[in-house]
Amino acid sequence: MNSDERQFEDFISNIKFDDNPDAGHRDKLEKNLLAALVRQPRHKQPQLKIWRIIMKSRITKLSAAAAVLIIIATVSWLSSKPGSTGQISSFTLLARASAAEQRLFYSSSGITHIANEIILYSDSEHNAGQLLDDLEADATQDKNLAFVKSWLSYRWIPVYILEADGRTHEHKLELSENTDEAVTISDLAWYDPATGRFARVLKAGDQILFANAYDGEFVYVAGKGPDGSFRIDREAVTNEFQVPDNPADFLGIAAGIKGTVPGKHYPPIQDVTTETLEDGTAVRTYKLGFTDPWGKVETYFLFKIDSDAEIIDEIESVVKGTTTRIHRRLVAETVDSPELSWNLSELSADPMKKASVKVDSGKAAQTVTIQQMAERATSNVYVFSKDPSWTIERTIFDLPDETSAPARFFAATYLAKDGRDIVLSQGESFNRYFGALFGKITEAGEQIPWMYESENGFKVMHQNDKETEMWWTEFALKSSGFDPRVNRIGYILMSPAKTFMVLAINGPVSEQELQNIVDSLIPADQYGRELIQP
Amino acid sequence: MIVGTCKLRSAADVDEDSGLVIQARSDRAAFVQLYRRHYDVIFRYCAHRLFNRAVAEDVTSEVFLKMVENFHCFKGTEAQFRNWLYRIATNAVNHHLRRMTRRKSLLRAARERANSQAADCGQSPEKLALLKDALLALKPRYQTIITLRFFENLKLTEIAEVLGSSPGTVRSQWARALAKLRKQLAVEFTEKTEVIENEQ
Repeated sequence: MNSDERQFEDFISNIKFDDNPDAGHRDKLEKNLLAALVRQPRHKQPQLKIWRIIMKSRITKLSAAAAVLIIIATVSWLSSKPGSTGQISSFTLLARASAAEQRLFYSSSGITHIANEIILYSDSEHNAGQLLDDLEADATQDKNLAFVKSWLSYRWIPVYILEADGRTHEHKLELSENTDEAVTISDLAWYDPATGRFARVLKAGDQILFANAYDGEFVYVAGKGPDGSFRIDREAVTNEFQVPDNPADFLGIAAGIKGTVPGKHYPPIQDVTTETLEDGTAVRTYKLGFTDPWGKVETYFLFKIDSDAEIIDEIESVVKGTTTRIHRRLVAETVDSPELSWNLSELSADPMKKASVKVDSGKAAQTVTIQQMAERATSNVYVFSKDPSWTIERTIFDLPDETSAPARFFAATYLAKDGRDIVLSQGESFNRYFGALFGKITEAGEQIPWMYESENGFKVMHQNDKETEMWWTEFALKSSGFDPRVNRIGYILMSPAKTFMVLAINGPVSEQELQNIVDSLIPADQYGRELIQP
Repeated sequence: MIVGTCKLRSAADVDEDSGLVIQARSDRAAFVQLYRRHYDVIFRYCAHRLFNRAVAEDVTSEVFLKMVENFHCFKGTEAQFRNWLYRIATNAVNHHLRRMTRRKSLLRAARERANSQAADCGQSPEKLALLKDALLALKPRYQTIITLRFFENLKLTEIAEVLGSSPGTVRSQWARALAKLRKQLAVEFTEKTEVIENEQ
């Protein structure tokens, strides 16, 4: 016991307190509680019931599968890319919060110290990769459901690293597959507004997970190396290096909100409530999420924004009704000197022997060219050899394909001049997942109802469940920054190499238009060659 | 009662298994048993945070009604159930304090209540008033930590569970809260230290 504790104990030792419970109040409350207990409704798990109804039809299974996969892709997309925005209201809200954080914390005369807490919760019985393996081995409904639930519960967070070229790159911090417990990570940062120097460290208990710093000459990145040992990489800043204008872009709770990917992808604000945090701060809580095919919003973010200061105090991520992550600020103060040197010299060697989390050096999410997509893909990926005639701008997103790591997931989005925007999504987990489900159907002797087969070997299926189609196409389009239209349409495509793609189009296409774009599909690594050839 | 003797009472006099909690979902008698086993501890916690027994009873009622509302969501042992109740109580107390702050100066009201209660009981009124002023001047999170630690005798790991934080975080907040308390009670502590030094 230290002297403060001892003094306080002494101080309170003979204070008498009127804290004896009153039996009368206890008994009266007991009656009220029993009455309230009777009034409580029985709680159900409607989502499972709905899932089972959907699973009655084999073809509807495919539709639902596509829908779920789009959710997954988008969930990871949104999680990894807080810089993206969907509706201007969400973006404006969060950009304003980021600006407020910059103004409040990173423009003072002294050194700013920020301490955040990130809690990653565990609710996954098995790892999704293993469950996908199981599903591939035998695609039963139970395995399908187990896989989808596990996949939706994937736990990781984006971290933003300032590199020697002055750019901020996004990486991911991920729980190891064998960790069943919730993990609390301390995110501590110090920033000197006068010089732009900073030091940041992420720790789980005393275990250092990751660190990033800039001392005026060098940029330092510390973490787990390829061989599993802890290491600190030092790199002299390049000529292009400039001290970032807004440290809130890569430090603190608002990191990435005004990120490098131009954003139109944030989900809409569903609800705004007011509440008081544990420390007494009054906040407005904004619920940002997409509506699922059953009209519910079960996967969403809760942004708790300080009512007075307009800064984000807490972000809670909820997947299928379960909290998967809480990110909250604990301390924001001005200090005389940082507790960690600008060159990270205090960090000891190999503290990661028993790491329960790892920082993945793979980029979490970014835009890429077709050439980069071809280079990064680990399976056959396809693009239109010529952008569809009614489109005017193409953007390809490269995302982590969590259950098939290190594979990547790609979403090619095309802005249309007539409103018929296009989203074409593909990745290794799509291939494995659809491959398992289609395999099961053909194994049972049933035919896949392909509606079109192109000369270059692509097959197209249009699902017959309109409601589900409306939902997942809306989801795909919205999460790509487009405003879904009522006459949007969706298809599942199989390539000659038996890989799968999901195509969402924001409006009707004629049979000829559909055939034209399917006919134009080519392997991404051949893109450009055709144009050069006579 | 004398606050200091609280430390003698084990804060963990609850079962480590979930039997009673599970039973209480469908059995009224078990529910009543569970409630009675936790009423006192939650009431005392509210009283120690709010310095007013009538308000503490109101907030205790809110806590248990909230518990009933969300009982179906709770899965865990009885020890975790108690910590869950503490968490609900913490939120309810903080919410109440917030409302009070908006209405009028909390410290002034607390001082008035302290003086009147102390006068009623004839018990160290100055010290009680000082304690209330000092505690209520802290952030609610610090108030929670101090109260759970000193008055409810919870371990830092248990406080961390109540607050949904890591023990390390709670430990550092605990140290900060104590340091702030020391400042608040500087005169009292200084005098005490001088007395001890003189005695030596």
